[in-house]
Amino acid sequence: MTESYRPPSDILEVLQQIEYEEPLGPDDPRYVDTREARGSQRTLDRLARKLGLLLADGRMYPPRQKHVLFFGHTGSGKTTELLHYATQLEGPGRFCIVQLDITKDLDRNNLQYADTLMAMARALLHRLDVAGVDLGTDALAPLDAWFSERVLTTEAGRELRTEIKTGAAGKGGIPGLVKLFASFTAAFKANATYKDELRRVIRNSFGELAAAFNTLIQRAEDALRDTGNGSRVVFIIDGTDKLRGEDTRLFFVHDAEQLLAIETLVVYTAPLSLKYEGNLAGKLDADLMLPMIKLAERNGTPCDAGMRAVRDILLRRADRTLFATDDDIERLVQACGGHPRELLRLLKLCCEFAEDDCIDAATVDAAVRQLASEYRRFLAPDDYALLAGIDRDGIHAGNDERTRRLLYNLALLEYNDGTWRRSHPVVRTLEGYARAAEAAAETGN
Amino acid sequence: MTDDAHRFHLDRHRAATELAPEHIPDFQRLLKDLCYGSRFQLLILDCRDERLRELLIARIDEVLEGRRLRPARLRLAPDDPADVPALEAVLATLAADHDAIHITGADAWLTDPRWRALNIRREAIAERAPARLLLWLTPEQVSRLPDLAPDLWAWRSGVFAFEAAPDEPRPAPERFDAAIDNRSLAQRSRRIAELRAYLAEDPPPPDDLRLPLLDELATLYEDLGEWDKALRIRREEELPVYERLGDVRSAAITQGQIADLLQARGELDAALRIRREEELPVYERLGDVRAAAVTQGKIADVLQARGELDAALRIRREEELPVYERLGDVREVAITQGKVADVLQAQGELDAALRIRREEALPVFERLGDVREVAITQGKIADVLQARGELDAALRIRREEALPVFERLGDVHSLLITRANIALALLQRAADGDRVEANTLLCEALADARRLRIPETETIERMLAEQGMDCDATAPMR
Repeated sequence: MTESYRPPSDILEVLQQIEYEEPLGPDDPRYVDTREARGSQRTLDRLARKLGLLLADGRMYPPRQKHVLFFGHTGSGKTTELLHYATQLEGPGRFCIVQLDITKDLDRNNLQYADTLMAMARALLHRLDVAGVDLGTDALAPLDAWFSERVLTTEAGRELRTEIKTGAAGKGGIPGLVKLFASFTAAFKANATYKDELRRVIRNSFGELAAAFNTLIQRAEDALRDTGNGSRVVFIIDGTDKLRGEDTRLFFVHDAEQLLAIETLVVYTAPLSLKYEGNLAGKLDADLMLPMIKLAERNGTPCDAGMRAVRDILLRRADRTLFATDDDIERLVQACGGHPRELLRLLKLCCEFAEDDCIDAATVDAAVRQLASEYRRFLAPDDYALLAGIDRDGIHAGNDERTRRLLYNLALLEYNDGTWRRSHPVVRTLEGYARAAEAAAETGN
Repeated sequence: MTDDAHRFHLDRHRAATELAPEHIPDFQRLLKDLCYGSRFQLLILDCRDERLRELLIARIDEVLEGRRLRPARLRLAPDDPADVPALEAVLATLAADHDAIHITGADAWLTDPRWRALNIRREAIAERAPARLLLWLTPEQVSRLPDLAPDLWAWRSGVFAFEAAPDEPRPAPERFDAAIDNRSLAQRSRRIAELRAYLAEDPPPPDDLRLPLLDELATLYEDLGEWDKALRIRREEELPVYERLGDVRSAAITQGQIADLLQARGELDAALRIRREEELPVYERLGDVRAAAVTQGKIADVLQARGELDAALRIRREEELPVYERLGDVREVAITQGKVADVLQAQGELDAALRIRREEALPVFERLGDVREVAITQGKIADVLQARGELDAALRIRREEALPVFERLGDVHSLLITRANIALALLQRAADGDRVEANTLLCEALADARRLRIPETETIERMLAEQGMDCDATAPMR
């Protein structure tokens, strides 16, 4: 922990600072190293190896292309962990990391590969621009030509061009192209008419675009290597785990070949449900997962590292003096099931319920009851039966729609890269669960 | 505690003084979030009762304004704003100069596709409308939110429940009475006079007070068989007010009550048209799956009454049961199973009907401790046994399982029906003493039926006449 950092010691200040949607950057004093706690010491290592880097000695054997899916529960810390991974993967002789958040850069409603490619090109060019890397006009020529011949001849292209004051794409080198791509990305985000027309253009001339983009990436990697900015480009695309239903399938399944035509290294965040739908294209690397923090091992033995990590996360959000006893801290830790956002939710509820500047046993009770009641709202009797069955004999219980739904809404939590599952601890406090567990015990199921 | 915190605690306690005790904890929690939580928050408020909601909004706004936080109100109408991007734009405009935005009318506006569209605009809304968004919903909407908009749900800053106290009047009044109303005719007449006096006052009571009075009056007329009067109130006094207020749910409920009356008068086609064209589409549009299933059930009732048993059976099995099962409503599942058994029984499939009653319905009611439904189901099991000629078994059930329960509950209507059924079984069995006992029971049933002024009076009188019985010697009229 940064020495000068002091967690808030006033309940209202704690409440004020809780933001569920805020990922923690590499220098954030609230960040806790959870690798041991998640059993994910090897997750970064495995990711690096997939990209061709041996972290232990820094040797690099990057494949021509790799498209890796990074799975995890909603709110389990994927973005925060990826931000930290980026710091380890980046550097001379390693990678140049290009990060995109599609939730900010694009409209994730009906996101398609065409939109993503445009955003990737913009992000890469921006990164080169910031690093002061010059590619020379011949490196940009294929992309420039594609734009001039395919895009700027369309009605949407002509209209967009008049909005871009810098003129033709190649004119301004990388800054000019950055601006051009930024305009197109913005059009994808905000203008439905342009979006449809541009998508059509990209679909009809995709081979040319892919080739031009691949040329740009190769030339960028040459230039980055020459300037000591990393030997390969890795795109980290965050927010793709937030695609839903048909959009997820279109993006990762239907259009996977288009994604794979881009010869580069890419990491996409992906929803846990996709992992279990079983229809992913073979070329997408789909076995990397951010495990949950374990509070116990599969056999029930307490996991000290997990308990410590969750406790640390808690005490970096609220000063120790705010808790009446260590037991109250322990109960909050246990009740979150090792899920960071659920821990924050419980802490927030404690702040709401606390009458004075103290979180005591009664406050923790009230917080657990309230969170449990939020689960009770959508759990059906069959859900309880399934959860009780999984808890009883630790079976994996398959991946049918009900199970995927429970995993998605966190009533069921998955540990150790998905090898075992447990119900959320607050769900186990509900009467419906108790009845189902009793019934399961009676029938031996 | 700082001065500011001390003042806040005083303010929120003062604001809560008018509230029912069960609402205070969530109200105070909400205020803490609003005043001290982050700038953007998505707060889910579960409140069906519109009057309670208005009271809460007023109290919340007082506290916010006292702390220089600027509240705003966005009332959604079914097609205004036109879609989610339009909603986003309105929220962005409001958030520019407000800190908290109450969003009401979401029940009718938030159709399933709109929920899904809203789900994927989560980040955009947070960015464009950085304010505390108070989304006022019904419990049903809140329950469906995690499935329809899982990302919005994952970002919820809190869920706050404000359930209306059962005795509070509601803008969409449900039948004021319980299933059993044992008030005497004189008592009901007095209440009718009272209600008519209230309603005749000049100036008349405001709509929110007048509507429950009208509802009670219509229900009283309905119970007394004065269906024309009841129908006039529903059609000419209640319905226009709901339509004027734009309260589509209450208007649909009233249409349903009109259909009930038409159905009771035997106007089955008219009732069916209302259910299918006026009632059901509204619930479907509102996404109220339970109300839609209940309406489907009533459509099945009409079809059943018209003898269209297969159609009724299909609705029960395909439209009603799956909904209640999905909602986890075991009681409604059991009741619907009972109705499936009614159809099967009418089709002569006595064994299947008996199995359902014994295995699907009865155990559920027993587990729920619903003694009345247990007794009713036992009565129907006895009907089957009686139809199969198992008279002793049927009599035992009626005497030992049904009758004592209705006596204990004071359910005079069910009691008189059970007595008449016992009498029928006795007459059928015709053992020594059965005829005398049957005569006594029929006379007791007749006395109650006359007191309640119900249509069964004629049926019992006819039974007595057919048997050549009278009530002078056996059971003096009470």
